[in-house]
Amino acid sequence: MKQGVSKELAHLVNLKLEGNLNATEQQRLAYLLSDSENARNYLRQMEELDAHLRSTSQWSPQSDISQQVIQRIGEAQQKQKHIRTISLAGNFRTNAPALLRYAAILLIGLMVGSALTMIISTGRFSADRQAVVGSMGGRTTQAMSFGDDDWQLQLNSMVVDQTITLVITAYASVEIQTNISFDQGAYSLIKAGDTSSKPNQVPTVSGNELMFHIKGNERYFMILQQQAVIPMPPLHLNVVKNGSLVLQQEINLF
Amino acid sequence: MKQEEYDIIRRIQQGHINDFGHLVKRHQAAVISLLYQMLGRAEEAEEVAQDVFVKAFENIGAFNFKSKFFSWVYRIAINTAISYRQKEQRFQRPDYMPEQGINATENTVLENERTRYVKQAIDQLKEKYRTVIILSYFEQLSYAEIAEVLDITEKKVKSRLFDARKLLHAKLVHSGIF
Repeated sequence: MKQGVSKELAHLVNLKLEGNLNATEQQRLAYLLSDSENARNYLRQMEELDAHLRSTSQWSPQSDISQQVIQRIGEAQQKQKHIRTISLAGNFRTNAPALLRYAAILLIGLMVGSALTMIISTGRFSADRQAVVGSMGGRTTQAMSFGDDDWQLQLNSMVVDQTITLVITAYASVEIQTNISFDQGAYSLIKAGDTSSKPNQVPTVSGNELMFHIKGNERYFMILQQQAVIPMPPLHLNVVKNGSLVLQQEINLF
Repeated sequence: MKQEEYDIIRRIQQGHINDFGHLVKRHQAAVISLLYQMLGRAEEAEEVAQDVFVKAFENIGAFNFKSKFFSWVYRIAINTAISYRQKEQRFQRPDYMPEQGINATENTVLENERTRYVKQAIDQLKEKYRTVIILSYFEQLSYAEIAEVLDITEKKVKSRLFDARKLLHAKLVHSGIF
């Protein structure tokens, strides 16, 4: 059929194929068909096409891929665990009580934070949305920075076994609100707090979300425990300035 | 069944990896079949299906229990197949065409030829039309199921199917099949 068909005919034929023609539409279609061979051809071809598509049988595969899938997942997890845990500082990692490990991790985080505060006091950070990732002694560390003319924010994360320490060092000339949320199925919050010289600046914890108000120089920390040995879902960082969302960022922990 | 699957997913989220095998066993046939229709080759369908389930596992922490697992994994499969096709630039004839034996009658030959043209025409459709044809005709999903998988309204599903059929018809007219 070379000639085009009217929109009305195409619509009515479509309804017929779906079995949704009412009496009036049926009458109208019958009229259009009686009036034109072109229309009859169109209906016949569309019915043939519909029948042809319906006759294409669903393929039913018999193979079982579940073992391969589980094997691949296991291998990926082993690889990830190997990266995170097999390392140089074995004694610390395997023998130290959990609390001591948290304290040590926090201390390292604070050291990084202190260094950054010094940088802030002499000049703001220059990096913008850069991530630096390193791995040493079973720890995976990562640094990311974000900001604009009014605010700068640096996140330092450290992952040891299944413990994640995050230090947020920030400078803001106008007040900004920072939210960090996490998947509660994957992480639990061990501790969060402020480490700057302003003891009244306490982060607000609400379910799976931490909220910090930043004005001037601030430094916060949070410690998360990974719940299950699955690839870690990202954290979500939002920054609100003057009531507007200025940053929405996924933080992937390596 | 939905609640039972949700319980399995919660156990997987808590670290019981092997429970994921139950979900794979339950949905693998549908996923492989869909990928077969989308990619055209059985071996690739099985290989890509493995990728789909590994991706599903990696992201199961983000499963929000608002949809069925089936719809969720189907969506992953569709997106993976589309990426795979784009990556491979594969538009050659699929291998699922019936082979014509020596004793094939004239009608069989003609029918097979028509099937080949129809498949080619489907292959040339935009992904959004192609997907809806595959889900509706080949996978025999209801409008409601297609809407959930594609995260669109049922009205949109019907409208896409209407457009897809018109486009297919135009291609077949152009090829001289009609």
